[in-house]
Amino acid sequence: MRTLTKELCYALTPSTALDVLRRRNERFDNNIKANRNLLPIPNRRRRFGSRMSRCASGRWAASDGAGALVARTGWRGRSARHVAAAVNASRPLSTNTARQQPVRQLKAPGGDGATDESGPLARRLIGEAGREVVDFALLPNEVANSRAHVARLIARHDVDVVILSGGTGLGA
Amino acid sequence: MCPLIEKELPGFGELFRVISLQQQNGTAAILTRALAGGVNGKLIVSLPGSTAALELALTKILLPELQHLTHELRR
Repeated sequence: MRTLTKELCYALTPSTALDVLRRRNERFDNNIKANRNLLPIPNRRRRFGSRMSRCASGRWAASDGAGALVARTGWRGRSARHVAAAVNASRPLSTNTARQQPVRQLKAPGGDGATDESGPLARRLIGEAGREVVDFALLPNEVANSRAHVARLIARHDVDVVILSGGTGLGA
Repeated sequence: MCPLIEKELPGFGELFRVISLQQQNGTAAILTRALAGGVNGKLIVSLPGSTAALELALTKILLPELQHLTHELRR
């Protein structure tokens, strides 16, 4: 038996609904467990996950204010910091960027063709300031996941600053 | 991101909202929870997703102070 998803519910006609009920009664009479196939749920998530990775290339993401961007700014290694500070303008210092994107926003109208504007903007501004972006990622708008990502970033030696963008509103 | 931050820099969010109030959004500036703080010698900055707000925060506050900030964090 398949798990009754929203789509399946909507696709039900009176006759198929009767059929479902009849089979359910049959299972009840014969004391057969529902035998639900739960695999489609993680599989759907996996498919969605691949969509998110496409998002990282900037094709999926919309950025209308709810988008979250993570950029990290950092110098290359601690030992070089005095040198880097001394030649601030001439030598590119390092900066680090990751990008966070709410799941919700991907489903928003226009999300399909929309482009990620905040990410490239942040990277450009950080680059113009003489910092190097050493990492950049689009993240789904999930608190636990984003926190874990940031925790990984700040553990790195080549990262000094983590800049997140998006998800700072009340609703996000 | 709040739980990650060991030393909050309230001035960052305050300044961001003041500039946003004056230059862009008026009193709607109160709607943003932008914040910054230090963890383990690193700086975490959480900014809004809109390009205007992002540009404001980066060019007016963060990037000019970046060197100073990271210097202080490492002390």
